[in-house]
Amino acid sequence: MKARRNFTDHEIACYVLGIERAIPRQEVEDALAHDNAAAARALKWEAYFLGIVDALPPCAPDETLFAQIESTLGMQGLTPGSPSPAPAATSRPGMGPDGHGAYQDMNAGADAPSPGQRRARRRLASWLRRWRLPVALALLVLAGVLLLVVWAGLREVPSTMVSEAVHLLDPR
Amino acid sequence: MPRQTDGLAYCAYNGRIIPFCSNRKDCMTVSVFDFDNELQACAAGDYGAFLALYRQESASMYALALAMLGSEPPAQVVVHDTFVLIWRNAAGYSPAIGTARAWMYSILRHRARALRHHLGAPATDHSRRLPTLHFPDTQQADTGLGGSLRNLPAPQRDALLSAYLYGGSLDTIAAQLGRTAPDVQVSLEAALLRLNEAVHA
Repeated sequence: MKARRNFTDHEIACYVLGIERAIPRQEVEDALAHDNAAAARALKWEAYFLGIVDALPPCAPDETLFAQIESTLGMQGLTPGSPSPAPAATSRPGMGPDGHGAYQDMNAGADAPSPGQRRARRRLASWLRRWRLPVALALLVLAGVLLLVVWAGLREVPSTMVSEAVHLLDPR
Repeated sequence: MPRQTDGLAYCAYNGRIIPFCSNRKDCMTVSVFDFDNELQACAAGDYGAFLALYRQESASMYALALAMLGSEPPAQVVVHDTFVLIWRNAAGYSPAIGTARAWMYSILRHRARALRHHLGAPATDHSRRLPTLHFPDTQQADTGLGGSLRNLPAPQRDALLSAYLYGGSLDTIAAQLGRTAPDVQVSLEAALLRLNEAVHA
């Protein structure tokens, strides 16, 4: 197993700044995902640079943005104080899901499907486009058969019930 | 209705008083908003805490995303994705690793960089000017980290700001600033050293 190298504070600061250097970002991200001390150093630098954020004039996003976020998270209709689906717990405190660090692509997109899901969706869409007419006809036929079955089950059946009691043990 | 007190606006919400910055100058060095507490409440599924975080930080996050990406639609996408990820991953945050606010911005900047890469933004865009930073004028702001950033010599501050917003190699940062790569490297190293010293002073 390849040993992870320890990165200096300066190297981590450069990584957090986004400076591309000789060290591949993936190596640093791997260290951040597995080494709490390295992750703490990265967040330390991120906190230092917040002075830049605070010196930028704030700008309110579109008013509909929060509604979009709620929609993505399935939170519509919630009011403050009402119970909401708790976010899924992650595997490692301080890190993102699956042990990934905050600097890694936590979900590769907040609501973006994985490449596998995207392929499956494309295949399904293509299949539906190609077979939409036969599928529609088959569904119509199926619906007709179901209607027939229901009708046959509900229609009045000629009565075969014996209306007079039969006394099997009657000594007559 | 928000009410104005000591330079901060307070908003009654869910039985709590939530402060948010109405005057950025007063909020630069001291923020009374408890990010750690609100983020941990999000991890427990507290919708009110999530809304409070959004109200507190969305304008600053959007301003940063705009500065990084240069236009509104991708900036909105980044802020959207960031808050979705904050909610989904709140349980993964631990105060032992760092501050909640730094954690949130690490997500935002990572998403912004990924989107810029995805959109194929040019490594160097000479039409893009560095945004003007507005530091507070108070005497208190001359000390500590805020003061250190404010008092950085312009070449150091510009190198730091360009790297923070646009990233890239030393060559691309140098081309953006019309300087040489070794010059930018020296400026960045000096700026990082000064920031670190300011915190430990």
